[in-house]
Amino acid sequence: VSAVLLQSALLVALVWPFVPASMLAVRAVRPLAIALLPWSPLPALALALLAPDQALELPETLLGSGLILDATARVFLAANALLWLAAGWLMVGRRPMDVPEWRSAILALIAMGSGFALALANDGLLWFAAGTLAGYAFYGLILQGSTRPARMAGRRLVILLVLSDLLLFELFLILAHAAGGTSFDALRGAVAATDSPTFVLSLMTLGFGVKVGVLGVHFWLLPSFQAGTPAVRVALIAFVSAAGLLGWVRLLPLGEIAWPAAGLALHWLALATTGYALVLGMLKSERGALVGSILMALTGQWLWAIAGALQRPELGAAVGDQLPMLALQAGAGLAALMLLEDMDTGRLARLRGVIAWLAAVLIALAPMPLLGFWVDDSLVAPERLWWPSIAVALLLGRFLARIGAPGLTSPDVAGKAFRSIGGRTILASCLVITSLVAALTELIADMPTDVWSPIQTVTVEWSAAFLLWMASLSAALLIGWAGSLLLRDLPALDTPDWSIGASRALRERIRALRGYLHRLARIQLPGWRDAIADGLAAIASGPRFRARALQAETILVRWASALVMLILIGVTAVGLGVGR
Amino acid sequence: MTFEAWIPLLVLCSSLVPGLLIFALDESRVRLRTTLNLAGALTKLALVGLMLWGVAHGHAYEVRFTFLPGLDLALRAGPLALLFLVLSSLLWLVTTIYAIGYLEGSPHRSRFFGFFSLCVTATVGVAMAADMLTFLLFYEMLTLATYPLVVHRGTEVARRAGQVYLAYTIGGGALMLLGIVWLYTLTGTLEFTPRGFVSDLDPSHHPALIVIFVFLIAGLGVKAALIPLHAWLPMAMVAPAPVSALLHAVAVVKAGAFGIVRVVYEVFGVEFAAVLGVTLPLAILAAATILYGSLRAIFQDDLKRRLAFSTVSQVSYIILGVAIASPIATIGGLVHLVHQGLMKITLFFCAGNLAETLGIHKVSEMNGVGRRMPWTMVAFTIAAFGMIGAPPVAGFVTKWYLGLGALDAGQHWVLVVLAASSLLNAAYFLPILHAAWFREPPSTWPEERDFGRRETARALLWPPLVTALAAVLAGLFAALPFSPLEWASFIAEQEFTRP
Repeated sequence: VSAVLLQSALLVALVWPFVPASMLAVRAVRPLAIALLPWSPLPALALALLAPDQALELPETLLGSGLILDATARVFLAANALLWLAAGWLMVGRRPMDVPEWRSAILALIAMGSGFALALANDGLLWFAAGTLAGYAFYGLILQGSTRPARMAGRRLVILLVLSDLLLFELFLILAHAAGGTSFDALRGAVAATDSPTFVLSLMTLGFGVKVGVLGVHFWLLPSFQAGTPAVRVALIAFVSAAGLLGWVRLLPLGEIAWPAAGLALHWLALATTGYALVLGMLKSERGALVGSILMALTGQWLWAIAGALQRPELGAAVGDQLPMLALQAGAGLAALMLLEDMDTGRLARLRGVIAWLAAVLIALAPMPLLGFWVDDSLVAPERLWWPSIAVALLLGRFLARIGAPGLTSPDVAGKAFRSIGGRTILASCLVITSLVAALTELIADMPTDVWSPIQTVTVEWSAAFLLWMASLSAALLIGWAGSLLLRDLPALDTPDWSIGASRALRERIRALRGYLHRLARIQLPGWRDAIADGLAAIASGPRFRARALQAETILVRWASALVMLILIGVTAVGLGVGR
Repeated sequence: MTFEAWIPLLVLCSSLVPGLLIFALDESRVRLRTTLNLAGALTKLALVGLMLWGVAHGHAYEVRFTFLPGLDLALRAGPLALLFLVLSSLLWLVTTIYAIGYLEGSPHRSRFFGFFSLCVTATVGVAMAADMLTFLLFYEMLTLATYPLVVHRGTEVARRAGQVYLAYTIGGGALMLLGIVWLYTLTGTLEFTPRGFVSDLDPSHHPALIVIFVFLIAGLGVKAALIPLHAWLPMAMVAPAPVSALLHAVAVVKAGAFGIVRVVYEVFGVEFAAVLGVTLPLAILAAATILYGSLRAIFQDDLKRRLAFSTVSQVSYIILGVAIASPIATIGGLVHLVHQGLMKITLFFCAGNLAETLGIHKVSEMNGVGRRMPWTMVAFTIAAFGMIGAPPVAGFVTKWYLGLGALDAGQHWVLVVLAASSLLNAAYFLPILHAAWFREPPSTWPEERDFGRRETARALLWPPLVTALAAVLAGLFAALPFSPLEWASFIAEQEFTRP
C-alpha cells in the first residue's frame, strides 16, 4: 500500500498545480484558486525532499509514458519547486494592472505543472510535451505585460519556440526510431549507438539551446528578462534549467561516449556564448538584462562542462551527476539576487547586502567541484581555466555593484506594489540557504537526508590548483564589482546620455563598438508571421507566386475548368495506359 | 436475417427516417424536429457503439442485397469502417446540437435538417460499403445531399459555389464510375478485400491497373481536395458554419480520403500498389497538397477560407500516411481521419460562434476577442495547437506516427515535409491566437449580439468545448484501449501482419 501511495505521490505532485488552474474556470472559486497558487509547488517540494527513489508507469498516457524520481529528477524537481514557490509568492499581489489576475495565474500554474512534468518525466515524449506547454505558457506570461519590450520578447520567444520544438521533434523521432521506444534509457542507448553524432548533437544544441539561450538562438532571453516581472524572471530560471539543461543531462550518455570533435565544437560555442554574454552584460545597466546575461554565461558554463565530458569520457559520468547540483546552486542563488536587486537602502540594508554577496559567491563558486575533475592537469592549461566561470563571476560582480543603482526597469514593473522588503529578504535568505546547502553537500560529499544520498558528489581534493581556481573566481567577482563601482559615474551605455563625461575619441570608439554590439544583440527579427511565413516560404510569398496562385485559383473555380480538368485526367490516364 | 445483419441497416435508417420525416415537418414544429434530430443521432451512436464492441470481440455485421446478376449492394462493418463510423456518428450528434443553436430562428430549417440527415446517411453508407459499387452509390448520394446545404443561404455567391461544387464532384464521380466499370471487366468483382483483389491479375494488365488507379484517385481526390482538384472547397465556405463543419470534418472530404484508403488497401493492396509504382507519386501529390494548402492559408484574411485551405493541407496527411506504405505510417494516416475531424470541427464551430455572436468573419477583426469570448477561444487555441502538431493534442500523435513510418520506409524526405508543414501551420494559426489573446479589443464589434452574462448561446458553446476536450484526450491518452490510435493500430495490423 505504501508503495502505491508513494507512486501516487509522483502523480499528485505533477497534477497538483493543474487543480487550481482548473478551478480558475469557475468564476466563484477564482479567489481561492489564486490564493492556492503560491502553495501549489509544496507537494512537489515535499516529494523531492522526502520521498525515496521510485518510478511510475503510465502506459495509457501519450504513447506509453512514465514518471521517475531518481537523483537527477530529485534535484531538478527541488529546484523547480523552490523557484516556483518564490515566483508564486511574488506573483500574487504583483501583476500588470490591466490584466485580470486569473489570466496570469492560469498561465503560471500551467507553466509550473509543466515544469514539474519536465523534472519527473521518464520518457522523451512526456518531456517534450511538457516543454512545449511550459514554453507557450511563458510566452503568455511575458506578453501579459502588454508593453512594447514585452511584445518584442514574446515575438522572439515564440518564433524560437516553434523552431526548437520542430528540431526536438525531429531529434526524438530519429532517436525513437533507432531505439524502438521513447523512454530516456532507450533514447540514451540510441544516442550512444548513433553513427552521426554531429547531427544528433546539432539538433540537441539548437533544440535545447533555444531554451537556455545558446548564442545564435538566444534572442528571446535578454528581452524576456528585461520585460518580465520579477516573478516571471524567477520562474524563467526554472524553465531554462528544466527545459534546456535537463534535456542534455537526460539524453546524453555522458561517460559512455567519446565525441572529441563534437566536444571541441561545443567548447567553442560555449566560449562564444559566454563571451557574448560578458560583453553584453558589461554594457547593460538594466538589472533584468544583466540577470539575463548572467544566465546566458551560466549556459556557457554548462555547455563547457558537457563539452569537456564529451572530450574526456572518463569524466563524463561524474560531470553528468554533478550538473544538476550545479544548476540548483546557481539557480537558487540567482533567484535570490533578483529578489534583492533594488534593496540597498532602508531597514536591514547591510544584512541584505551580505545575503546578496553570499548569493553571488555561491553562484561564482558553484562549478568548483566540476573544476576538481581537472585538478590533475596543468594549472594554466587554457581549456582547464574555465573561462565561462570567470565570466560569470565578473558579471556577478557587476550585478552587485548595480544593486540599488537606478536602472531602466520597464514602467509597468516599476510602478506596481511589490511584496514587502522584509518578506523578500526572508525569501532571498531561504534561497541562499538552499544554495549554501547544495554547495556544502557538494564540497563535503555528504547529503542532508538519506533519500538524497544516491546523488553522487565528488570529494574535493584541496590541492594548490583547486585553491588557485577558487581564488581566481573570487578575484573575478571582486574585479567585476570594483570595476563597475569605479566606472559607475560614467552613465551606462544603454542610457540615453551615455556619452556625457567621456572624451570625444573614447565616445566615438565606444559608439562604433556599441553600434556593432547593438547589431549583434538586437538582430532585427521581423514580425513572427513575417519571419516564419515570409522567411521560410519566401518563394510563396513573392508577388509573382501569389499572383499566379490567385490566377490559377480563379481559373480553377470555373465549373467549366473542372470538367475540362477531369476529362484531361481521364484522357491522360487512358493515354498513359495505352502507352504502357 | 440475423440481428447482427440488421444492425448496419438500422444505422442507415437511424438518420434516413428522421431526415425524411423532418422534410415533411412544418417550420414551426421546432420541438418535434429537434427531438427527431437528437433521437436519430443518439440511436445511431448507440448502434455504432454496439458494433464497435462486437467487432472488437470478433463479431461480423454484414447485410447484402442483389443489385444485378453478379453484383451486390453490401454493407459491412469492419474495423476500418468503424473508425469512420464512430467519427461520423459522434460528430453528427455534436454538429446537430450546434446546428440547432446556430439556425435558431432562421428560415428553411426543415429543409436544412432533412438534407443534413441525408448527408449523414450517405456518409455512414460510404463507411460501411462492402464493395466499390455500394461505395459509389452512397458517394454520389453524398454529393446530391450536400449540394442543397452548400447553397442553403440562397445568395448568388452560394449558388455559384454550389455550381462549382457540383461540377467538380459529379465529374469526379464520373471518373470513378469509369474506373470501377473497367476494374470490374478485368476482375469480375468489386468486393473490398483485405490486401486487395487485383494483385493476382496477369502482369499484362498492370498498365490498365495504373490507369484505373489514376481514375479512382482523381475521382476521390476531388472530395479529398487534392491539388489541383481542391478549388471547390474554399468556395463552399459560403455555407453556414455547421455545413462547413460537416464538409470539412465529418462527411465530404473525409469520404474522399476514406475512399482513397479503401482503394489503396482493399482494392489494390498497399504492397501491390507499391509494386505498381503508384504509391510514391501519390505520396508526392499528398505532400505537395500539404504544403500548397498551408501556403495559401497564410494569406487568407477570411477566417473560414483560412480554415478551408488548412483542410486542403490537413486531409492530405491521411493520404500521405497511406501512400508511404509502411505499417506505422498507415496508423498515422488512419488515426488522422479521426484527429483531423475533432480538431477541424472545433475550429469551424469557433469560427461560427465568432460570426454569430460578434459578426467576426476576418482574422483582422479578431483583436482581443479572447477577452470577450474566452471559452470559444480556448477551444480554438487547443484545436489550433493540435493542427500545428504540438503535444499533447491529437495532431501530435498523427505527425509522430507519420514521421516514424517515413523513417521506417526509408522516405526521409517526408520529415522535411512534416517540419515545413508544422512551421507553416504555426505561421497561419499563431498570429490568430496572438491577436485574440494579446491585442487590445476594439471598442465595438462588427455585429454584436447580447447573450447576457454568457459569451454566447449554450448550444453554440458546448460543442466546440466538447470536441476540443476530445482532441486533447485523444492525444493525451492515445494508448488507451478503444482510442483512435489503438483502433488504427488494430486496422494496420490486419493490413500488414495478419495472414
